[in-house]
Amino acid sequence: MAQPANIMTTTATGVGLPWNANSNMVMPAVQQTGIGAVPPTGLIGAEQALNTGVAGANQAIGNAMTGLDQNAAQQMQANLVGANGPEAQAAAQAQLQQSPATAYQMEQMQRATERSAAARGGLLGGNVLQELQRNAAGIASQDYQNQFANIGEVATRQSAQDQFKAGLYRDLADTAMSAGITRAGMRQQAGSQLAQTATQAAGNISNLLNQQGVAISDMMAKDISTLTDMIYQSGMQESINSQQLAAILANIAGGQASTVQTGNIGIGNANAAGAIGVGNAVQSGIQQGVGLYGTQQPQAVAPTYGSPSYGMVGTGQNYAGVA
Amino acid sequence: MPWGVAAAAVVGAVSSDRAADKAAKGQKKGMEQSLDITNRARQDVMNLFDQSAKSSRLGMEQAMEYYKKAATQRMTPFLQGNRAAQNAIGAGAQQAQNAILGLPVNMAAISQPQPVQQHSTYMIGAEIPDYPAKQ
Repeated sequence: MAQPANIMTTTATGVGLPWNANSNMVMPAVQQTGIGAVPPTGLIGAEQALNTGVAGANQAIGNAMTGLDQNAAQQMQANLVGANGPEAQAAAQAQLQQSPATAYQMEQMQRATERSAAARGGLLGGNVLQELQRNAAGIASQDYQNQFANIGEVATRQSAQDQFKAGLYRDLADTAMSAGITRAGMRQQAGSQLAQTATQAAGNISNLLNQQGVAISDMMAKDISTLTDMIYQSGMQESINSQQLAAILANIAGGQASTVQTGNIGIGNANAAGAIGVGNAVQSGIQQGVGLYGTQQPQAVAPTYGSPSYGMVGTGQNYAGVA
Repeated sequence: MPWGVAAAAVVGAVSSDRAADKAAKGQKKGMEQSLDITNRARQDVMNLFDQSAKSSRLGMEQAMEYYKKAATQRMTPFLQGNRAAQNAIGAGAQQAQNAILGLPVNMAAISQPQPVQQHSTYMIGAEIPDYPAKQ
């Protein structure tokens, strides 16, 4: 499939360099991602990028080598000289003899020879035939030399062109490899940044969760401490209340006992005083009766002693609710 | 009249003896009742001090019991938070590993909300003990 040289080929994957049908040299496929598409990252993405770069470089180098191997002019030269075997040489020579240029030269040479012979009156004589053969051999030899030289010139130019293209492909390979390395580095860096982001985010969230648990636990600890202290203080207060009540009751009992004791002593003293008073009265009455005995008859006096009672005054039995 | 004087002396002596006897009895009865009151008061005070000790011990015991139960519950949110924090770090490490390798990274796996559950049941156990009635 022949295509004109120096044409820019556009493929689905990229834009190619000038394309030559003879050398069959094509651009390597270049992997491209669309805008907005998320490229693979990390080690996998980097490895893919490197592989793409290496594949592009390999394809470029392979194309260059293929182009160098497929120099058609060189092959034709080799065929003419028999380097590719007698069959190839015979075919090349036959092709050369059948070329329009050789046929035209043969025809012109034949006409010129025939006109010259006719002018000399020897048309198609033995000398004419010999001259025709000699001229034909000369033309063939000359054409062969010319063809070989021309093909050599073409081969030289084509080789130079192939060398130039090979240089371009080498540059292309370098570019593909460099792009692959750069892309691999970017993807690896992107993966590292993603990893760093994920780690940092996880650390922050982890701190938040931990702080949340600690904060709630601390709040509960304060509540628990407060409630525990309230329970403890209630017991202590109850204890203090009992102690204070005991002290109050002790004071009441002490005062009550003292009052009872004092009252009983007073009662005893009062009874004693009453008994003494009665005795004194009786004694005085007896003495008075004895003094009046001479003038009138004495009258009997009935003694009336007091009846002391110790009673329950101020016993204090009710201080603690005891009946 | 010598017999009259003698009778008056006898009456005086008898009445004095009775008076002394009544005074002694009154003092004795006063001392006995005072001692009885003191003894009963002492017993009452002892009982109240015993109640006091029981009340303080009861308060401390119930406070300790409540604290033990509540402290266990208090550890729950702390452990939940710590466990969730560890999970978040683990999930982050997994995603970081994915990122380094180039596998898909799921940030939602890290940022899943993990609320720490808070139970208020620990407050239910906070009760004032039933202290013994004062007698």
